[in-house]
Amino acid sequence: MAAYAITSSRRNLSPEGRGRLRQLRMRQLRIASVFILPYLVLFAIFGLYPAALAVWMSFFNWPPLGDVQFIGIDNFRELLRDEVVGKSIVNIAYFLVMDITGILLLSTLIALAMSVQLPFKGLVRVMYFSPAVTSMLVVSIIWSWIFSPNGALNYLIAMVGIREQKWLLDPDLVMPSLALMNIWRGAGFYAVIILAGLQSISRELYEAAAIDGSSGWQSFWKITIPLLMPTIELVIVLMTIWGFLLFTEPYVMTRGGPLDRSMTLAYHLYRQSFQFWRMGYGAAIGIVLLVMAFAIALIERRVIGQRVDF
Amino acid sequence: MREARLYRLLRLGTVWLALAIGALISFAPLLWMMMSAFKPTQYVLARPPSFVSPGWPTLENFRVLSGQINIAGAFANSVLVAVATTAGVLLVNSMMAYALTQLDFPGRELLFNVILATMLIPFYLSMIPLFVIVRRLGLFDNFGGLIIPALTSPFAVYVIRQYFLTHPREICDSARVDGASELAILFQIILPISKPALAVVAVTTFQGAWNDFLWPLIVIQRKELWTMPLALIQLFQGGIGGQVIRWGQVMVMSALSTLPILILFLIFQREFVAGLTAGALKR
Repeated sequence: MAAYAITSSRRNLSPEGRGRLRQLRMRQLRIASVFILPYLVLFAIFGLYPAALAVWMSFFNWPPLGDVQFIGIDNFRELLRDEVVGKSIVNIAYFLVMDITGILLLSTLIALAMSVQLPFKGLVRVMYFSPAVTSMLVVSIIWSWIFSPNGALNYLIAMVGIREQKWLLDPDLVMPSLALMNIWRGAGFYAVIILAGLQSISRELYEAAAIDGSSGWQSFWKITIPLLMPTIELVIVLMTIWGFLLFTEPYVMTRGGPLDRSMTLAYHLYRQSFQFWRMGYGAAIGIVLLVMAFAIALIERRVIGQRVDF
Repeated sequence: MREARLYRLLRLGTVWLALAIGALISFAPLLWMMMSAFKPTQYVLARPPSFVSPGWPTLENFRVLSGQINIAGAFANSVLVAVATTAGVLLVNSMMAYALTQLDFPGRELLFNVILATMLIPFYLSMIPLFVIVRRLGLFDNFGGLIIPALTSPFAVYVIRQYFLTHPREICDSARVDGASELAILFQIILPISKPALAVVAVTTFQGAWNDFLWPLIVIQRKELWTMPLALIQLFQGGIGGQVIRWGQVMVMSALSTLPILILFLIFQREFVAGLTAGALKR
């Protein structure tokens, strides 16, 4: 329609042309608003307003009885002194190191294996993906048993002569255990992502390298890994963001224990808000989460932005 | 020559074997859970762990459970919430995607980027104020509180928009020339040809709504409104019928919660994978 062509040559218009342009834009906006309004209204009420309210709430004390009092940045001061917050961050970092290493190793191996011509691909893919489509709640329940004294893990390690472990009840083992569970859940899922990345590498690169006399190993290190880097970095960023939001496992399986060694920020937030009814403080913790999410996204943009340069 | 071929076959065989073992490890816990649902409760935690037990299979757990919880009710609630959420998400977000691709208006690209940026807001931040708002709006302790806040989805907008972009402008333009309204164009022309993207969004949204447990935990109080995850967590934390966890029943509930999604996954494999990886590969 000719109307759309007008918008590009705004500078050359006469006053009445500009008036017509404004009319056109108003008309476009009117039509579009029918379509964007439902989303915007819903988002304003249930997305924007709560987030803004959270920031607002963090400056108050919201006791279950009595009045709401303005306390300025006291919640944040308490945050900085709160041991649990510090422990949570350490726990999450510890978790992420194990989680990311384990998943990257396993899912790359799986993806490489899957890229070969094999029978029963569909069935195999279903089996690898099934942990990821199961709800976290069910996964936590099943693994509660696996980690239990009479559970599958102790049974399996007994077969290779290792002593029975306390897993979730052992302060030193609780985070590694949660990491193990997460690796189990994510390996197949991330393998598919990495597989997609693998398949986007052009065959010709490998063929050219083979012609130049490169061996399989060399091709792997010089071609596959570098070109897979963006995908790998993406996987790392995703896992980091999800790692900070770890909640279901501590809630269902460990309640943050033992000795707060499996405490996470999200669970701390939940407990402060809905068990101790300290919603202002909970909101402050939520803001810490938001800041961290933004920080990770920013760092990621910088790091990935540098790699994509061919 | 024959040795080289044999060597290759052997390598292929090992790869296949390793892959198969990994697949079994991935699937085994879920299989155990489903098999355990049919074991008499005292054998679920038995050592050594096994997939079957004396008295397998039995429907005893199911029988006892249905006496304590309205299983069908919880299942129906989950279905209702998941279906309603999926339908709503498809509607709201495809309208937004249509505006972002087939309509022209000032601030269009900015709006899209802002929508994407909002994906960074963690749920835990808005959780508490959302709780307060939902109460004030009268959406507490009913399904509205579960469905309505979940309708806007930057992910859905992204996926649907990507697909809409692949439709040539002529389709809409010729319909406009024929005098069709924009709404009619969306519903009668564009949506019917965008089924792949809609399927991806539908399947991902359904799975998310079906498995969701924290927000329903906060919003729903009445037993009649429990969804499957809520009933499950009550069972697991020994809230119903005494203090001891009756593992047989927990397994039944877990299996019933998981099976629908697994079946859906088997049927819509491609959509699930596309949806879950598109969320990751969007960059």
